[in-house]
Amino acid sequence: MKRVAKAAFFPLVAALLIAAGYVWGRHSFRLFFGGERAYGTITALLKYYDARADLIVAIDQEVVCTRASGVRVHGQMHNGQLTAVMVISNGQATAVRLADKPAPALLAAVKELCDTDASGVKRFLMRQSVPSSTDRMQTIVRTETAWVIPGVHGRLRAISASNDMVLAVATDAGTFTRAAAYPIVTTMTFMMRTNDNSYVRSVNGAVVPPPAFKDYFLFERDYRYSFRPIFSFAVSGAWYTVLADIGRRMTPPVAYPPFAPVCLAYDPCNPQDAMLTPDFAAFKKMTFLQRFNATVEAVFIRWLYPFLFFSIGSVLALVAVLIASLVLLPGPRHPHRPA
Amino acid sequence: MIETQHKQVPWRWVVLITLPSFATTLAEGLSSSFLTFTLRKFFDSPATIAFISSLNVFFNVAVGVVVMYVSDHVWFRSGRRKPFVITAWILMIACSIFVPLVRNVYVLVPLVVVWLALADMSMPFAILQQEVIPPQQRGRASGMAQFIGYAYLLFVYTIMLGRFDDQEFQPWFVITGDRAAFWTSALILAITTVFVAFYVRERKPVQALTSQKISFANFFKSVFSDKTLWPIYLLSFSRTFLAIGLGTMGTLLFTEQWGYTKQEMGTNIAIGGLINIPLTLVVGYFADKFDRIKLYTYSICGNLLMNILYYCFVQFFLPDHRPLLWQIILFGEIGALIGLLSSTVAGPMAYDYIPRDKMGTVAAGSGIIGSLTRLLMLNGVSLWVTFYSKRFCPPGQMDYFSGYLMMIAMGMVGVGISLLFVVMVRRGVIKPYGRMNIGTTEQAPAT
Repeated sequence: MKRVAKAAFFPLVAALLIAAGYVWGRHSFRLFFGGERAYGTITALLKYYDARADLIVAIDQEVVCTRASGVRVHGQMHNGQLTAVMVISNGQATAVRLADKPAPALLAAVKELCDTDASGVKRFLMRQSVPSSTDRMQTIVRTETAWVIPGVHGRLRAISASNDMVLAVATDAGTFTRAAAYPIVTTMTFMMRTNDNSYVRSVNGAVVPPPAFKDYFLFERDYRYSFRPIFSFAVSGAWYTVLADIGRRMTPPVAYPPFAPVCLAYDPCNPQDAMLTPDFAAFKKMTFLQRFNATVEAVFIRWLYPFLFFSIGSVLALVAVLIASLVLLPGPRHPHRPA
Repeated sequence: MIETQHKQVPWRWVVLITLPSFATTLAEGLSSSFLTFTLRKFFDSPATIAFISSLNVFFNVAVGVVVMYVSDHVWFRSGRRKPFVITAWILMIACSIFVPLVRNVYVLVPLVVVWLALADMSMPFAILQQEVIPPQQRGRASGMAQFIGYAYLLFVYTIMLGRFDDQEFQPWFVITGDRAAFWTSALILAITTVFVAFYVRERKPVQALTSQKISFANFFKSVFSDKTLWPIYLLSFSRTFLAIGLGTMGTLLFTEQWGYTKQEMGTNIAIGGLINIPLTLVVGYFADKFDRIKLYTYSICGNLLMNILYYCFVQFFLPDHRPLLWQIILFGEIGALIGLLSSTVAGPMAYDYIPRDKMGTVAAGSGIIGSLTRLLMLNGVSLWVTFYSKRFCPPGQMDYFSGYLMMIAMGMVGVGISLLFVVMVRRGVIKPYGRMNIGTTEQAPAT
């Protein structure tokens, strides 16, 4: 009995683990290899805190950079898209025409400032404030307004959306509509000359006390918060909105940033059955290290668990073969080989 | 059934007994970066995180050395190493399951402390592996162990570390990346426990030490009373000073101060580790071709110089004090090459000055001194970072990179002590007993 148990243990565990990997990844493999591909957008984010969540339905960002010469650059973004960039010099404001894509360096800088976190803004300021430069940057003011439907709780049952805009969510506990959304405004000021910075946050117009120094949205440093994306996509003119099955603590998933275009796979018979997938075409534009990291991030946020089960199961299958071979073919070095 | 104490064994035994190294390395490895991030959930103070993480080093001596010594002197029904290893692993599995679930710091800290102690209680497994593999097969077994080490590096740093905060929402549960890492470790360790418990048999050695009395006083006396060994201990003390890094501060520097993701950090470590594979071979060639003591002197000075250069580059050349990934890899690799050279040379060089009959004693003594010094230094770095940040940074901000200043200062002390050793060798104060092929009881020839 003991011998049988010992002989069967490793093959059995290997088979179990490989089967578990298959069961875990079955749905995503079917959608990825057998389903249709489409591009959609992250349209909202659930920010969880224990059993409750805030639903972030829109985000506006504004950045104002001032140089030593007095020239100011004023940029605005709405849901990840640049909406206006203005250069103010000698009291004269010149709007940059975004449709023509002029001054790519300027637009890239504004986008970087809107996308990056507080320490990123500070580093940007330090890079642009080289003492030898006569027109060095002196101040950056960044304002972030997150439009939030607060206190969403209960099991999510349905999402109501119009095109790529989330209007309401229905849970076991009730319906939470966009009309109840209020702004959470975080303003950060960085000054190079005095090496000083300040943070002010107002929730629905009222200034909130510390820890207001934490950004509300992109850059939470508290492990109790986690972000889960909601994405929308169109199939044959009809819009579908789906709550993703992946998320991340502290920050939104790196592979699926908020309000960004995303690649997804769906079941053509049931488009509501869709999942976020790695966008390998987008990775091709990146440098080697960026591409490597982005690929690993996107692949393993999706398929980590099937990979773990398959790989451990495969190694155990090898162990089972080795153990069986020792009994069946002991070899000349075996200390107890039969004469 | 795999058994110990055979003169030759099938290569398949060697593969099977080497594979569990992955489980032990993974369990041990989680106590570095993963533990830092787990503790970061509860503690803001880097000094506290560093203190708890560094207990690992303390337990190397307080538990690891003691258990290994005791396992030489006892015999149970199932063997002399297995009882310690199996007990430690079963309890470690329980700890690995609960560590990522705990939401209370008063439960987490004792759990982590017990876990770190248990990791060292399982240290006799390395000896058990050597007892299975006969001496003439150990070279290739060591190659296999190296391969497993690289597989671990790729698995943990390229795949798992970046997943620490990821979440997967299944209909009935949510699983996070840290739980996946700890539970994967628990699963692999559980399978390994079954393997070692039921598929490996310890045979009682003919000449056992089991009848001898266990005396820690005698142990410490034999290790530290011989004055001829003191210069070697001094060398090991200085080597620890030179090899000290930022520890947990390095992890926080990468993610919190420089703002890189855990994935970018993991890739950086994995790439560095993989580049080191061919470097190790090149360095081994040089170590055998040139005068060891000269090579050691140059490499430790080079190591210190690299740290100074890196600090100056980041602090005074880069306007935002944040190196790019390729710059970190470049400086890291040059530093690793020099560090590899000094560590490759230092081992054989030290043995040149140890009497043949004292090698085991010196290994134990150096281990104790190295671990205690490392424990103090790691905590010293974190206290320094805390002090520096309070003194020079705006409230609430930490400058983890300031730890490099402490590293440089310790490196200077280490170089000083090492150079003192070299001078003593050159003047003939320290004699090359190891090369003379004699023990301390014999008369050393005049030099």
